[in-house]
Amino acid sequence: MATELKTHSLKTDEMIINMGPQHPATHGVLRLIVNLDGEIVKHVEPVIGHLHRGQEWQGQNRTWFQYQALIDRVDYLSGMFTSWAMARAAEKVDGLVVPERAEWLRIIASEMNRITSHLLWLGTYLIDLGAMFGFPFYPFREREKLFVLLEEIAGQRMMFNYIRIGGVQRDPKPDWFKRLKEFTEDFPDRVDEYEAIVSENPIFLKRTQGVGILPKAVAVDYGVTGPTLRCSGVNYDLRRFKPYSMYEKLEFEVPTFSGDGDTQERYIARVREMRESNKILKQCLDMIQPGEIMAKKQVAGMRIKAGEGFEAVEGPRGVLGCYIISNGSDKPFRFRWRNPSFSNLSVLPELLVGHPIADVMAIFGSIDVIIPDVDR
Amino acid sequence: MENLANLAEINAASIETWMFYVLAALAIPFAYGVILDKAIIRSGFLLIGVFGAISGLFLILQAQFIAMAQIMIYAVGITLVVVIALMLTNPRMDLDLKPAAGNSKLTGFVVSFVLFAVIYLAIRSDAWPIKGELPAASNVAVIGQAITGQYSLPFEFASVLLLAALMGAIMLAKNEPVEPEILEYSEASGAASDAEAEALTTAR
Amino acid sequence: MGNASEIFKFTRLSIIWLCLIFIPVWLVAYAVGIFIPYFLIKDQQNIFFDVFQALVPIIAVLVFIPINAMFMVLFERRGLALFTVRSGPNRVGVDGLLQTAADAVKLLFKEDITPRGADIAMFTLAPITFFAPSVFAAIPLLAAVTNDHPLFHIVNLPTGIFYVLAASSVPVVGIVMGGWASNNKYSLVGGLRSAAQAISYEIPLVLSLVSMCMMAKSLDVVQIANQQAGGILDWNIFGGGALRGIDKFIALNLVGNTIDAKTILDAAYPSGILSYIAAGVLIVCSVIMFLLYLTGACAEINRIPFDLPEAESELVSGYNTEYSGIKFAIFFLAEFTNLFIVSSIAVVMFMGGGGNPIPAWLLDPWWPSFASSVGPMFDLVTAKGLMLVDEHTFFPALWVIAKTYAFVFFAVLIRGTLPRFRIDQLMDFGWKRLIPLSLIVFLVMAFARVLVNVHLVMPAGGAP
Repeated sequence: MATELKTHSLKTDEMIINMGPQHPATHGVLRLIVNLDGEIVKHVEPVIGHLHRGQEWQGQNRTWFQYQALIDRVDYLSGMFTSWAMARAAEKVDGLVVPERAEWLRIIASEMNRITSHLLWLGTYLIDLGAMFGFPFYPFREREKLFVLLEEIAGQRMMFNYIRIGGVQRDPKPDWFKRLKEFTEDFPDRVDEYEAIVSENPIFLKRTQGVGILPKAVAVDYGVTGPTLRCSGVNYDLRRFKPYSMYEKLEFEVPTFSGDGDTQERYIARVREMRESNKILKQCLDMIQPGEIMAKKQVAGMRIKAGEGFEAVEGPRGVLGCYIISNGSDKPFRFRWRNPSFSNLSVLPELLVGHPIADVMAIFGSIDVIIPDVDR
Repeated sequence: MENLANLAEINAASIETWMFYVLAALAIPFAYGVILDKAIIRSGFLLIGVFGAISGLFLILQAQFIAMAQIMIYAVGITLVVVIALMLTNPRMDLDLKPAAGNSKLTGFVVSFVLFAVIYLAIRSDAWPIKGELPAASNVAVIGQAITGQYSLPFEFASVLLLAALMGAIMLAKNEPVEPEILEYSEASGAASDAEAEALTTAR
Repeated sequence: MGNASEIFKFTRLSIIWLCLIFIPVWLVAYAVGIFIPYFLIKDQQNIFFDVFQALVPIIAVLVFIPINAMFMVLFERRGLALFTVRSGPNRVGVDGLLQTAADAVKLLFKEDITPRGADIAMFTLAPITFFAPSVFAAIPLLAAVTNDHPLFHIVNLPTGIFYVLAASSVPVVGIVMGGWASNNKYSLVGGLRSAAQAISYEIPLVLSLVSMCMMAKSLDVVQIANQQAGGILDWNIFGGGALRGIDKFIALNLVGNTIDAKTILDAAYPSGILSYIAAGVLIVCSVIMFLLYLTGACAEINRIPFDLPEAESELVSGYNTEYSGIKFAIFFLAEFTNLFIVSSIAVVMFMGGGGNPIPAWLLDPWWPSFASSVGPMFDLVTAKGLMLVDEHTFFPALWVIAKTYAFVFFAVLIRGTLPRFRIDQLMDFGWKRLIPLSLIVFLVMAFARVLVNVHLVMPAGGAP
């Protein structure tokens, strides 16, 4: 951490600043109580819970069928993954076998979702660094294209409710695959474009290199997952280390860095992940075969066999898990989410101390926290 | 129409006199404010007003260069430094000001009286020679030539003095650094948990 | 290409708005400077005759600044939209023509909130202290941009550029004042940052301008602008006039004048090869100085990448967090006016002022007759031998505006591209890089200038 910032014997007072809940850069309603000495952060205390909606309790008071539609709100930027985690847990409890085509469609939809999530992160991260106007709109252009495609299969742009217990909601038309193919052909060039603007920008490098270093041990201690963990030198990706669905058949790399991750490496990791997701999409489009897409009848009184189970998927922010206890009725008995943002946020005070206040948002942005995902 | 004719008779010199009174009427209350205002930062800002009014006086005297330098150096630079110094040490200036002790009150009184007497006598004395000629139109060039020509030695002395002051300021600011309170993730514990992390990773 | 229509709309909008700016300024200048004195008062001995004529620059600036700032806001928003694949504001008026006018009206009618615990007097004074100096700073530039028009001659100070610098260094006091008076920690930090930043970036800024004054041997903006007349090769950015000799040499060779071209070169570069090397050094140095000026100016007016005093992702909105309504509008107005002023200083000091960018020897066959026939067409009436608009005023003003808006466009482009510095990096960059660099370049220029006869003026009868 910033060793060059020394304190002097000059006697000064500390200043306490409340960043948020209404602050233009906290990505939602997070409140950070920051103790400042001059502009140097001495102590940080994140205050969460402003967006608590009782997602778990809501699940226990709704039928399986109803709750499927609410799940996307847990992490509104990666709704596919929350649906998928819940669907997999429920399928495990119920002993369902999902048709192969449905698995492929799930991978396609969620990798598209991963790209949109990373694109949004890229845009807002540059805003956190102070590029207020220019760059952030370019990622949104590609994101919009993906949302048009996703809307066609799911009926909604962000709250998809596409992945259901037992399969997926709808089979896309052949034309849809063709357009997705076009997108995947074009997308690497667009990523090159972003990198041309950002990656070598001297101000960007100055702001990100060596800033917000997260040592491997700290990351593991706090249960950090996702690209943030992989930047700290732990090569841990569920898709690779505990392959689920069809990921075994796919060839892709998991961008991992050897040293202690700083914010620049987190940027590089996410950009590379977008490229890898694009590669996965291409392979899926080649491999997908016609077939059934749903193994369970979607009715209001849908029941899951009694039992309990935990399943997790690798979301854009990290390991997203869902623990379910079912008593055989049409309502879940107990629901429990394991959210990546919660663990990732809890490491924030470790990262911030010793940095100037300008880096608070640069570091906070780099670990990609979504507040609804923290508060549920 | 008569009024207009009368107005036309007001010559440039009397306009300057009027301007002098206006600027003096600005400068004196500001100066009192600097001394009397309890919020010390506000008196810092009032000081800028004083300097601004004084630079106006220089303008009346046809000394454009000095007037501009007055604004640029005094009104902005020095006052800002004062303000920053005050802010960094004491953010809100609502401290209880202790009344001065008895003997320092007396000292203050004596000093201000002597100062007043000196200034008064200096103004009343006759040693104020007035040159018959008008100031040069391009007085910047005249000043430049004077500084680099006739008065180059005093100018150099002033420069050396400033340099010494600058070095002194750096020495003061470069106080003994104390041990930073925030230490990095300590090496020992980091290594221990590193091994744990390795184990965890391999287990997976 | 879908962008072509957007670019067309943007250009059309700019032209309409520029007309909207200049027609009122022109009418007011005409009314106050010519119509009232010459047609209503008539008596040249009357004191009001002089008073009205002396009021012209002030009134022209006061009319110009708000309308111009309104246009610049729209220009910036539409420009950013161009760079970021959006449309920008396009609903109010034709293509969003009146968007900023509507915004201004909205801001005027908004409630003016003073936060609890604020120092009310300072809180009110701060926007004024921020805005007033930019009005003062704009006044002497009028003489330079209108090629010393008789109506604006009165504001042409012998210490012109120094006055402008002094006036434009005052606004930071307003920022500190507003930051302190708001009783808000974000504002306080913003104000402090602004002060630190202004002090450290003023040094390279002033040194870069002083170097040009040194080349011109003058502080007078009109003189500096006029020295650069005669095409792009004579502009200060290319060696501060060091290319004048070559320019004249080319002109002579083309025109085939009787004077030996060699004498021109000998007059401009007296020490032979050493002088040519010095001229090359001057060109490099003045380009560096120009870049230093741009950097310093960006920092001085708090534009991205140096907009730390109002860094949105850290300090909410910095010093103007607590301001609303008309006070915020004044802050906003002053910010854009400052951008315009630093751009026009750049034009006057580096980019030839109102000079034509095309070298004079290319234009000489037809330009003077064209200019003298077109220029007066824009005049309303010629009063007592005093033309408000003629070719000596109209074309320089046009060029200055075009060049100034090129700089503004550049600033918008920068804003659309770069992230923000961090405060310690900003200070490092200022004190450890820019200030030493500017001092060294200044010294080199001072030595090189001795070897070259810059801004060469031929003896009478010798000029082509």
